[in-house]
Amino acid sequence: MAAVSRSALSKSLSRLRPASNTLVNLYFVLWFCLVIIPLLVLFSFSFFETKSFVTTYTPTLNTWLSLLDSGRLTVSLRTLRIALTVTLIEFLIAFPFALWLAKGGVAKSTQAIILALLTIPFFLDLSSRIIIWRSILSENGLISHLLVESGLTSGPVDWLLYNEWAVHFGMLVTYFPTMVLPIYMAISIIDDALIQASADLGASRKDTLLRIIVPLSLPGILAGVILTLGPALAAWIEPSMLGGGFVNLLSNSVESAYSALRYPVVAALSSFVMLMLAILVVALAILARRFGSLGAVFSTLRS
Amino acid sequence: MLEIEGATHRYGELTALDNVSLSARQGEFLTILGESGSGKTTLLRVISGLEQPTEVGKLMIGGENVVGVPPSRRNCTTVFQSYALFPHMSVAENIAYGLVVRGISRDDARKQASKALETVRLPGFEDRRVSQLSGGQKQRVAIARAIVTRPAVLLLDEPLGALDERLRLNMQNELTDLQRQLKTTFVYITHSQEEALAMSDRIVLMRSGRIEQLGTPSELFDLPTSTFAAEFMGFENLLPGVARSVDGNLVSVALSGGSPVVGIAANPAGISQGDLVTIAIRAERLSHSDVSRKQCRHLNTLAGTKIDQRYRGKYSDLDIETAAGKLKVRTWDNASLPEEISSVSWRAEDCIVLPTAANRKT
Repeated sequence: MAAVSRSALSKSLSRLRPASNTLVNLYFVLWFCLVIIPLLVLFSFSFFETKSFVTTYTPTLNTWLSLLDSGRLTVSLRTLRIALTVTLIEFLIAFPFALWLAKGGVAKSTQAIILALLTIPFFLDLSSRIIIWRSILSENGLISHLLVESGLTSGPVDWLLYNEWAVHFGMLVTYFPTMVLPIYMAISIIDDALIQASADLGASRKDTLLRIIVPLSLPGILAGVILTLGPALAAWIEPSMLGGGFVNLLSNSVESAYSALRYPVVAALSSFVMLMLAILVVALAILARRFGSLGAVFSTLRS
Repeated sequence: MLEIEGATHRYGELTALDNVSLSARQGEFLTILGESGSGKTTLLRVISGLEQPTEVGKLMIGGENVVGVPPSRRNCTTVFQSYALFPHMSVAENIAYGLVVRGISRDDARKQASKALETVRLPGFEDRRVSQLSGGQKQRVAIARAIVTRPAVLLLDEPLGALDERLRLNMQNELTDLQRQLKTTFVYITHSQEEALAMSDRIVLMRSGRIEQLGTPSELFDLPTSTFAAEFMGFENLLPGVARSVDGNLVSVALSGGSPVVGIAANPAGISQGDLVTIAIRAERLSHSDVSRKQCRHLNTLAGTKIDQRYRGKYSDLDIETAAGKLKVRTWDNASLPEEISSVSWRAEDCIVLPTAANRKT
């Protein structure tokens, strides 16, 4: 009986296998055509240059070299600094929040409500969400008004908007869900018995956190960082709306190069952002090794 | 080694543990037996500290008062039902975990882990990944991880539940061997009476958060104190009756239909003349042959006829209809099964007289 059903099973499996291979191949072809090729085209464009609004198709490193001068290096470093700061602060807020939400004894129904609230920002256009903050943070805005009314300040406060602080703040609000959700998912699938076993074997709360919870939630942490760092490096709406032209980031350079029809510069800047992201992610993966082998953690997800 | 007095635990309205007191000696194999929902797992979690009891009079592990002490500071470890091995660590890292978090150097911890692996008969498994292990191997690694820190009490939560039968029987012997070798107090949870009988020094039978009966395996097997204990320990035949007289631990009972029988009671003081009682007899202690056993002081005999017969391989079960009700008789001699049966008989020692639950004052 068992032998018959087993051979029937393996037969149906072998029938499935070529089909799944076709699907895998289809995925590779589609993803290659839709994502990888455009990126390669973009990358190759960065080796051309523009002369009097016309792109000349002779390979040159001039565009890449031009990134180093004309203040673009400062802009790049500023972008990197702000993106990393935002990602780090975001992680420091989001990890404890996700841990509390997943394992802090929050009722399942409350968890569902909190998760649903976290997805609300995805329903709204980013620029309309950000522009609201102008009326709250500005010199004539809500907070300034309340501070003056309550007598806490003598005059209107003007340092809440149009500076780096405001840009950081806007980005923190924007990317909170993208950091929290993957970490929450990763932590919530950790078996409670593992956490209990750790305590039972004599581990302090700190040991359990660093030796069990963090290593097992690494895939989620990595996903959260990539989903936050990538958009933060390319952020455009927060710096333009809350920076008020005082906080220029790479995206603003891309925008201005784009409006000047300097496509090779656009290409080089975009490639540069991606390159930075790639380097940061690799650095992060190496850092993550200190907490345990990523491969082992991913293999536990399979089982 | 382990002492609990008046432990009560409630989950909201539900009382999972109702004023339980018990103790275990150094090196004792104590089994907590019960159905699911009887409170046995809650009791284990209260001992390990994973659950803080609603009320507890006294809770001592290894001579230390552990009321309010977190699980990490208690001198006991748990072998979890699901094993709870850390999936991102190798076998050796799993076993060494309890040592590493106590600040023992990695080299020393690894050496002790290797020794523990030898103790559970898995030498050379140090660098295997947890996902590469079979169920039985995971079980051994979980035990090695729990014993490596030399706890005063080892708690085992249905550790053999997920294993197939042959492996389970082997592991029963290995666990008792290991327990004798380590001289550690084992508190073992199971719902299987066979496991409990085969492994324990003493058995705690639990029922809806209370201790129903506590005793050695032979006490629980041969002399249950309640109808619940009798049924749980596998007494196939339970018949209602009325107590006629009590003489020492011998009780005369009139079964329905008027037949007089004599049995013994674990607690004769709890039975007085005229009480409703239940008698419990194991199917294999009933005899269908008419051979009179003169060596018995009290032999009970009931007239009856065979109404059914089932072949079970090693034995056969016969259903006998008597004036007092239907009785199941188990016979190991398949070759000489009689065609007709006129009576069944059993010794007074095999006939347990139990107070009927309705009599009991709550």
